[in-house]
Amino acid sequence: MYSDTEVAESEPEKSGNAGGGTTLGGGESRLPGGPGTPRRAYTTAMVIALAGILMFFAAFISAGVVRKGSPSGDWRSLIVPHVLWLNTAILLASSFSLTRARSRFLLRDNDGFCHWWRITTILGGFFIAGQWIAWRQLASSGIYLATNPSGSFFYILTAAHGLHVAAGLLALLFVAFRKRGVVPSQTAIDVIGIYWHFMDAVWIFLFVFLLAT
Amino acid sequence: MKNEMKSSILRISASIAGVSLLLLRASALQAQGCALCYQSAAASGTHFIQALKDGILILLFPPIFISAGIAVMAYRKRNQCSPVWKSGNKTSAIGQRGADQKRLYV
Repeated sequence: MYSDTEVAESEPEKSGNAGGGTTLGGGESRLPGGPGTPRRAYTTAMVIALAGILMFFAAFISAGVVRKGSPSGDWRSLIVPHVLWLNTAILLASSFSLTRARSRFLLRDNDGFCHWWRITTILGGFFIAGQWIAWRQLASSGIYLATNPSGSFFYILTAAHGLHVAAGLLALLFVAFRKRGVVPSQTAIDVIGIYWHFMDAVWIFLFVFLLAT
Repeated sequence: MKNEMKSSILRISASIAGVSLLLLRASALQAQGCALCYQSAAASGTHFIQALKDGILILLFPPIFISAGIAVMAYRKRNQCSPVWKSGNKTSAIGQRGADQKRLYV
């Protein structure tokens, strides 16, 4: 098992840090949760997970496109609730605030980091709440899961994405409500950042798909 | 330096020639393995066939994107080796791994 300083001495700058940036402790840090596991292993694991998530959503969108062109002709285009535009803006804003939080963290400005991180967490919560409002609006206009295939795809896609965002929100909360005085590891911030920005990008694709169908 | 450049140009040319030869030898394949699926798709009209094509195209992009990402990452890290190698030890990590494999296979 290596200590932080040993690794930092043997491999000072090019430590395979896919998340980029500098560290508070030196080159390639070892996390307390996973002794002997280098930072790049966490980043690689996250990238592999995101590849799976990407295929998951691509399969759903592909199925939606094929179902829309089905000869049965029962697909009725859905008018997307207007609140989704606001939700998109909220998610984009949360990505921006997360970037700000990371940059404050790299500058070792703990207060600034906490401020922007909390804003990201709150915006993530608003996004989930906004999705819930969109579902309620659809339900009140008589569109349920089994009403029409377009409605089914709307509910399934937004719910699947909402669950993934909720998982990201849990990670944000985990860092936000850490013990007082404990500095979060840069690996955690980088990995959560990659995940959150990816969810943002996936939502943009889903939103375009929902608008187009 | 000149020799290195020459050898890299030769390597790239050989690769291009190899891929070109493979492409020249390519023959048309019937992708529709399942007769039931083929007949069902063929009988459902142009609109549905177009939708199927679009669906397949959507499924094609993520693996291409992922493969390209892996290829770029592998290329960028092609010269990266373990800290043991960099620190100047006589037995490198790669050399040690090779020795271990030899012990396994011999």
